[in-house]
Amino acid sequence: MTLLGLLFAAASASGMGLGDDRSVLSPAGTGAEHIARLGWPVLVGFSAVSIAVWGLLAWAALRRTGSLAEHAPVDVGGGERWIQLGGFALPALVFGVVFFAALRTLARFPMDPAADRSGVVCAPGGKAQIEVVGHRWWWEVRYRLGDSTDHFTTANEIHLPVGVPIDLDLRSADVIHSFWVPRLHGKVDLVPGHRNQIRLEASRAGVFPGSCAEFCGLQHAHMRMLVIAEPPARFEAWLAAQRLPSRPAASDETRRGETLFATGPCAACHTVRGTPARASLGPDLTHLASRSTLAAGSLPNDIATLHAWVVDAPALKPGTQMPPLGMFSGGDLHALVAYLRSLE
Amino acid sequence: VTGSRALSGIALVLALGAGLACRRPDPVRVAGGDPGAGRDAIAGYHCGACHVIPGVRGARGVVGPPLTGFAQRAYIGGQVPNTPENLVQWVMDPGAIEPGTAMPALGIPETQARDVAAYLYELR
Repeated sequence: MTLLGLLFAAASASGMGLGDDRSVLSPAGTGAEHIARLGWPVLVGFSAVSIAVWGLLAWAALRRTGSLAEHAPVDVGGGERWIQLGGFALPALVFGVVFFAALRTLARFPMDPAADRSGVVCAPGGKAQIEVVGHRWWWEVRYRLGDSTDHFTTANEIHLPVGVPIDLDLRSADVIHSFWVPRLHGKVDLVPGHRNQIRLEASRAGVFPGSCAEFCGLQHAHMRMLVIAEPPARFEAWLAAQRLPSRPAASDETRRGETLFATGPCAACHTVRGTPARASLGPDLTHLASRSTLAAGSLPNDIATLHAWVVDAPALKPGTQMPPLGMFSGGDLHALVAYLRSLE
Repeated sequence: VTGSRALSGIALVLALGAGLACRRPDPVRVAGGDPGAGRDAIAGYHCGACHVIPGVRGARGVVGPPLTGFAQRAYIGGQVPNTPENLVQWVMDPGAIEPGTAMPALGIPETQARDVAAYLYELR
């Protein structure tokens, strides 16, 4: 059973059979590579110790002869070495090695990324380029490159250029969350009233799923994000597109949707840059249609789901701060969704 | 004794007749529709965001009506008789049948709409 459990743990840890790879053992970034270099020997070493211990137990059980009654009183002579070596010396050695190896791994990560940003692409004033704010239950992502007119906010998707170290400020708007993209780096908490930092450097292009790693309430498990690492040229193109305000509505239907959005309940919580909707309680929707998911990675961003989400978000994600909006007629709903889908 | 035997005979005939009458109707066939492919299409277009659809994983939506027992429904959208051709049209563009409906046209091509309709008629 234990062996099976161990194999299962190893298999799930390495991401086998999962649609998307979230394994710390298949690193795609500098931070995760350091962690995996520690993780592999620990996994293999501890598995070997477990197998040896269970093997010895099995051996002892098989070697025993006669009934338990025949063995009382227990023969006490001759076993002390096992206890001295196996029970004290070996664990002290193993844990000592792991302890110092872990310290060495930790030393590779800057304790205070703000203190040394040489080689890191920063925002003006040496500030971290990206600020991530944890909300129940989604991620606000602010890009601060260039002057203040170039700054923009998006949600639940973080784009990075491959091979460039980038610092992220981590904050929380409500409770403690934890930022974890297993293939890029370890976990760092987002603590209310405090600014933490993490330095990400993707070593290859790809889409790397992340999630909140600190229980933060009802929808903790649906507080996910995607980190998209792309070649610098594509990243720059993405930046340029995200900086732009929304394109003016082009058809009668999207114009109707835009009016409904800006004058209706949507604008009480959301921003669409370039329109009167400027609230920031919910995610910035300026380029919603460029994102692949809704509701922090918990739903696909497609026509059907968008309709259902607008009408009754809590039915799809119980506990979400977005209220059900049952006041739209069918025609209004279609116009609103057509408008949202035009926000590329 | 003869009387009771006759009675049981009548009862047997009645029971058989009732059994035949209560037998489930033959499945409705949709020309060119494949129920298996329809179920995949329903999952792919996320119809389950708004509808409860038996047999489709995660289809627990409450925004629109549940599609349980759909094959037995008399009307589609409360507007037109529940026939295969009407259903295919409804799946492709519900607004064309019921103007003002909140159900969106998802851009489902006709071949897939036929598959979807075929699956919905499996829900008896």
